[in-house]
Amino acid sequence: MDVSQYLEIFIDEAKEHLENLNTQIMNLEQDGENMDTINEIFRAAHSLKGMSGTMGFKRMQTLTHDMENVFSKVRDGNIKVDSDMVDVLFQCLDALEAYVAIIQETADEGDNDNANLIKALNDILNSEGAGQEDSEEGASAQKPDGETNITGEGGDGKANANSGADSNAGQNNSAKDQANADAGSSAPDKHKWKQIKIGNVERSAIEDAEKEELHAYGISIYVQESCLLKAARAFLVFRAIEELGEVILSVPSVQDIEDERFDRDFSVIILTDQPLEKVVDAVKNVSEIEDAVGGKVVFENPSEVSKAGDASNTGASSGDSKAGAGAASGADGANAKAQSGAGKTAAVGKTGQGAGKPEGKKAMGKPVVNRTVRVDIEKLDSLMNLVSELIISKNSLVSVAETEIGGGSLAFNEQIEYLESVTTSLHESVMKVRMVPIESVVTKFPRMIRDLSKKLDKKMELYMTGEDTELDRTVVDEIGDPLMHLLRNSADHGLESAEVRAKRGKPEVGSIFLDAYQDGNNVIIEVRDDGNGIDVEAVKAKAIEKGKITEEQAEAMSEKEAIDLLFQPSFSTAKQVSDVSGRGVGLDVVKSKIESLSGEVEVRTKLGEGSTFTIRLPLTLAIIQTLMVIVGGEKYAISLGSIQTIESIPVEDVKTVQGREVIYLRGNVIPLVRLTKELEVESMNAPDADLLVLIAKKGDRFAGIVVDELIGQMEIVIKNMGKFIGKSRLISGATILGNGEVALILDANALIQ
Amino acid sequence: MGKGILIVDDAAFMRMVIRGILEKNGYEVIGEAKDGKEAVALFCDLKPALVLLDITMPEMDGIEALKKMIAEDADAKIIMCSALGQSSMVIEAIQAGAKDYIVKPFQPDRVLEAVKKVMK
Repeated sequence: MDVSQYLEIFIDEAKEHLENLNTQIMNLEQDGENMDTINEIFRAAHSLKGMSGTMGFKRMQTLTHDMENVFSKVRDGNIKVDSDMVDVLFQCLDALEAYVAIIQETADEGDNDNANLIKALNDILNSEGAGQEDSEEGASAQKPDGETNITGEGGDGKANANSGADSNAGQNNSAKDQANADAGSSAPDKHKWKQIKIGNVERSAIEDAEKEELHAYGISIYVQESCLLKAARAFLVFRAIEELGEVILSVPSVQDIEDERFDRDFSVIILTDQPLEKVVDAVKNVSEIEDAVGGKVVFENPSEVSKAGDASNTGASSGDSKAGAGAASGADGANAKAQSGAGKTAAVGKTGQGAGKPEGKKAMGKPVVNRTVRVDIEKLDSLMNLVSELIISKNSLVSVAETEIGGGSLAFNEQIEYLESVTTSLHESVMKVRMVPIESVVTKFPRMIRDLSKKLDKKMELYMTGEDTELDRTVVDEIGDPLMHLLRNSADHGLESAEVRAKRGKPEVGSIFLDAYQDGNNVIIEVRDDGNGIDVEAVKAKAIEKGKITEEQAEAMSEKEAIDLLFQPSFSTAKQVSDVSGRGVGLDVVKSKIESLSGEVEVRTKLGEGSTFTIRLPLTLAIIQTLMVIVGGEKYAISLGSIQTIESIPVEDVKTVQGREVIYLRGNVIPLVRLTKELEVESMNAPDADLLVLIAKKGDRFAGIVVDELIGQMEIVIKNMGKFIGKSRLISGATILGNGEVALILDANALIQ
Repeated sequence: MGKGILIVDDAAFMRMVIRGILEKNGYEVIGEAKDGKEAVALFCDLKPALVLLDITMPEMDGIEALKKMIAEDADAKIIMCSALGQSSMVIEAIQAGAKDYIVKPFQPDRVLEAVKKVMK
């Protein structure tokens, strides 16, 4: 089967399952008895096994199979969950993730067998004291009793129809010779039913039945070599036969067949009022049956046995019905099994499920089929691009309307307005489609903190809120690493050792918080800890030691500026380079990553009490609301998100403090940034004209951006600058305006110093 | 009895694989459900000619769903989708009225044989 077409969904879904497993195993460690959790884990492992098997990923299948076995034992209560086991399970998840990663790259699972993990899993399986047999076998152990009972009741106690052949051998009549005649046509060796020893009870049952116009047939059934779960297959055959007649004997015994203790064939003796062909056809119509052959059972010598049969007529007939019931009760047997041994799983599983998930959770009304559609992100990108083009084209229509027609036609303007609202809604819808909850990224963090806690030997707990906060897919994909870094930072540098915490009167277990929420057009993600906070003096000392600043500079530095040092390349205050953080890849990487997503990071800290890292990200990257301005005769766009107010300031209100121009506005001293100076262009305004100042805010810092002229608000499509133009600090991209003109997008954040 | 086939599996991947096998061979898939509850509701709604029913699922497992479907329609044609090692569950399902079973990982020929024989 060509499975390559399913590769993508395989990878997607496998990742979902792995994430789920991660979360659930975390839960399992907290509460090793929770049946909901255990069932969920079992299901996820089971699904993964089936999926990887279908794709032909044998190694992955083997590993998930062994994991499933462990969970199954846990579910049956045969193994208790302990920390070591959870460790192994997590390693398995890592290994599975590695498989998926390789599959994603090469469409093949690679050749790592993970033999050590397989062994570890098997050790867990065997550790439960070998006392517990495989549940299926355990169930079968109780079965023979039941069977003896059936035959015992049926007749004379000695006749164990199936396995008691030896003791009865003398009296038994072999059907073999007699049946030769009518079996002549087909290959004789196929008619294995002829070798069935028919005991007295059955014989008299058959003879009785024949008086009532019933026929006794022997049938041998061959299942296909490829057949899986042969017991179930045989069970289907029995059911097919029993719709037409009654099975009075089978070889191997019903019990053995049920336990799959047969090779590829089994034979039965049946009583029916139907013609042989019909029965054989019914058998053949069962799937995976290679062949079925049969013939009429004939006895050569209707001798004393028959008499015995007559004598115990009533007994025998009841015996025969019992025998039939015996075969049929294979079903009941299986049922009983389900209730006891192996079935414990099913039973427990159900109760657990029933108890855990309240019925009312999902109304049983009409479910909608396929509520979700998986779409390749590239398709969404191209959709977004088209929407962008549409917006550009709408913008040019607007500008045409303003100039040539000059608002002459009312209908035209109305349509333009309508178009405007449609494109805006369209943009919003497409944007929403691209939004995914950050859940997919943050679910792996509890596990990470758990690992860190062990590695660093510090007790800590991660509390998360707002996992359902949504962000553009492209942002979510990128945000994982920076967040992971901040969390590690908190765990390693932030939280103190247990002794220090005790001395400070803090709870022994350190807390790390990850909170996400939407704030206007931004999403805020905060990583907070109740640890030591940032030691500003230590940071300064380190910076001096590294030669980044001089002692004089350090003296003059504000706390904020000192903390900003942390975000400079290769700055780490960790005295020891630990395995966890402080590898020279520092907060600067976090910062540049966040900034590449058009976001920003800021830190608040209090020595001895903890730190908060706040990440602010735009909801979407492709289309933004901007303020269009003119500086030196050129048009520029500035993201509206960063602009607080627009002020007109008389030139004489501009003061100079420490060599910098500032204005005093509503109690704040705000440094001025003259764009003409930054962009190195000439202002078109008279030097004594009032200044047009955009008050921009970044965190709790302000800047007054001086522009020449305002055009107005505009929704623009961000285009990147292309490879040929080097990275400019001030320019974050460009956009195409309605009239085809290109305007640069100014990064207000870069202007705030 | 309606037309078409209802596919029930908690893994979208599996549903897609089965759908692929069936549609490539001219069968019509009229619905998909991802757990037992959804499956039973869709079964009552769509009256499919055939149901391919996974055993291990959240909300309501395949066995329970099967029993509900059989209670709704004693002649319901249902094929269980199982994994190796679920022998006793498959037998339980057959007792409860499942017409056949297929084993994961699916062999297309096997799936088609089962579907063909059961729909006959």
